[in-house]
Amino acid sequence: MNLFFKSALSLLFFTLSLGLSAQADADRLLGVWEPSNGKARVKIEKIGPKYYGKIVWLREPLDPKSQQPKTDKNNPDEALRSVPLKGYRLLKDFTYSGNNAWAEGTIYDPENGSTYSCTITMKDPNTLDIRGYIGISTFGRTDVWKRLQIPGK
Amino acid sequence: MKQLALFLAAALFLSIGCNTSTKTSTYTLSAAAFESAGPYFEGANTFTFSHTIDPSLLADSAGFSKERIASVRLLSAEISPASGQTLDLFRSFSLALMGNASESLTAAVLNPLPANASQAKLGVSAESDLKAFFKEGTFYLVLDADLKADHEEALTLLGNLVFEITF
Repeated sequence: MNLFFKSALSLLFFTLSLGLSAQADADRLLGVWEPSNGKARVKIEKIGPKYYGKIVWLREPLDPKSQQPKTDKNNPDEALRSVPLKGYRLLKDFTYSGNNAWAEGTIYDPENGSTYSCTITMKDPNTLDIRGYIGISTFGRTDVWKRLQIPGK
Repeated sequence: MKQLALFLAAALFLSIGCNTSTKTSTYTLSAAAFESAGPYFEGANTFTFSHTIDPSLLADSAGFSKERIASVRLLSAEISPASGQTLDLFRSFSLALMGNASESLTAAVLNPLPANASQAKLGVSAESDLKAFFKEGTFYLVLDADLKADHEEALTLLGNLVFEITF
């Protein structure tokens, strides 16, 4: 009996540690990242079981014409064109699919108001390949994002 | 003649099949508490409220099955501060819905927030169909609140939301 409980307890701890390890693996995506053009910084956070990325910094935060903070002026839905770009969630609905990849998500390009299917692959702890595509992943474009390093760390 | 009779019979059958009446009902969420752990930093801060509904019960009360939910639209969204707090800290709000199995959708926005507002009435998107979230049952209401400056004390925002469900 004692042996049975010991075995059951060991199995429970093993299962729990596997779950926690998978969770930690998936959460490596969290942080602030910078696309290759350096125009913005995107904070990836977790809401429920999914990962989302929102703009937290813009190199040029003001609209050159109006001198007001930029908004999502190219959104196909006219009612949402006043959503501020700073704070805009452009990476949506990613889930961890294992092997350093997050899938099932979309990326929004505020410069043309288009949304693309997207996969994220972590090349190393500070580098992401962000691949946006229409239809199948073969026809798409990959951008390299770098983790924002905090000076002194 | 036989062909005409067959054609008429088929047309009548199709007409009965398609002539299903639609009905709308409203679903109200009062004082939904949007929360976020502080401290808060200048810029967009994410406040969330998790909500669960029973879509079968909801549809049943309107006399339908949950499969008959044809569309769900946000009719109005108002945000107010919790007791002792103020909206003067904020520049703008945008509201999105997120679900485990549904693609997230932005449903309402107010930018800029009028000065000295005691309540923020967000402009709602007529195009965002929120049916998938209601069919899923559990979803997150996510309020992106743009703060004018860093803030340390805990903040809670209250939402009054009215949805229109079409069956």
